[in-house]
Amino acid sequence: MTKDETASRLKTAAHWYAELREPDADHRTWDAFRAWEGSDPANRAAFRQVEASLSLLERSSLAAPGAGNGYDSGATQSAARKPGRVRLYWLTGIAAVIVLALVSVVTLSPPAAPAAQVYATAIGDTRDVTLEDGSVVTLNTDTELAVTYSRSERRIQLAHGQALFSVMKGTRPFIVAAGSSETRALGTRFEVYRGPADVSVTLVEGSVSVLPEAAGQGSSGPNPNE
Amino acid sequence: MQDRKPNPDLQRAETPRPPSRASDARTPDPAPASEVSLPDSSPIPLTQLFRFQYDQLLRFCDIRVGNHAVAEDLVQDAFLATKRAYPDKGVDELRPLLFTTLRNLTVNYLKSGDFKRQCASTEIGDVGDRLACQRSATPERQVMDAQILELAEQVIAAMNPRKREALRLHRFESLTYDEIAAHLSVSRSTVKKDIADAVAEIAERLARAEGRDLDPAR
Repeated sequence: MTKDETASRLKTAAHWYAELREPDADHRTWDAFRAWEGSDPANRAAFRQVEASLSLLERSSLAAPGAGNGYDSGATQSAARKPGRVRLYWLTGIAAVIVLALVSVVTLSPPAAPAAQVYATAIGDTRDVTLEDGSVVTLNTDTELAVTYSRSERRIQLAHGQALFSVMKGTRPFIVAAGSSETRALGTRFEVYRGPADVSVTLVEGSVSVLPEAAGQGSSGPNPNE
Repeated sequence: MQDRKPNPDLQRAETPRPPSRASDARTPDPAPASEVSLPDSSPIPLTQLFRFQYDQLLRFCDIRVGNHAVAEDLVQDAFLATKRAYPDKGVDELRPLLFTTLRNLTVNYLKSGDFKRQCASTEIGDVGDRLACQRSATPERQVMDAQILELAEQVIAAMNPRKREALRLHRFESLTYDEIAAHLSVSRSTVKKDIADAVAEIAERLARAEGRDLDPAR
């Protein structure tokens, strides 16, 4: 094996390390890594070398407290550069003009769709969220949903998982969309579960109407405890 | 002993909670059964996973937290948490859940102050362990170790300062890629690449020094 080959293999191994340290690494990351590692004994050796380097690092000067004085981030560097100062003022002025222009464009243009607020729980977690109208959503484990309140409706998009809704009475309909279904309510308590394959709606009290998104008109929904 | 009739306490613990509140108040509640780890009563798929995936999960965890003892604890915790949360799932569903649960535990661990305390204690406690167990440190070996460390120091000293700082914040301050990116005013992908490159630089130098070209046969 040539030196270059070794170097590039070690680089790949080090990138796998960085990948496995991602906050959202999961079984797919792991399986892909194992496939790479298993495809060539040299890959395995390269990763071992990377691990050895990392453990050596523990004993290096880098591990010592207060080792981090070697680098100033760009922000502090530019502030320290004296000749750049004057130009900086100019740039600030120009930037301010651009920002002002952008702001006026934004305010003059018609109001965009209201921003969605996203709530999520990790596996094993649950969470209660009180929405701006006083409705309460309880997110069960591994659940994600987006809340968009507009002038005409209160809309929840359930991306995945399970959530219990206690809806405050109001004039705007409260709509929960999950997969291809939509559940509408005015004031009631119900639960929506979006599984991998289907969506189930459980009514605790009050009444709702459930319709597949594709269908035009809502049929009135089941009664509580049905 | 004679008074060992069918144990009434046991029976009460198993029957649903008695309706009378007064009796509840007098007898302290037995610990909920789910809190006790009973490997025998684990659902079969999870037991299977424990047997066949344990090594992989441990390695995954070890790479993420960089501390073997902590990794073992976290894997154990992940199994218990998964067992509690998903008592009736099959192997195919459980494996991803197990990885995700474990990963979340590592994220929490790295975020918590435990990480730094652990580092401090390994610094003190581990030196003896390392010399004692990893290899019986012959004088030659010690000299070689010192030389290798010296090489690593040279690479670190010559390293691009931004890369070096990214590596330090990653390994020793336990900051996330996002946090490092904010700290160094660069993009997240740059941070990730910097860290990988920094590690690769050290690994390359060591591989060259050991005269090893990663031929696994040797």
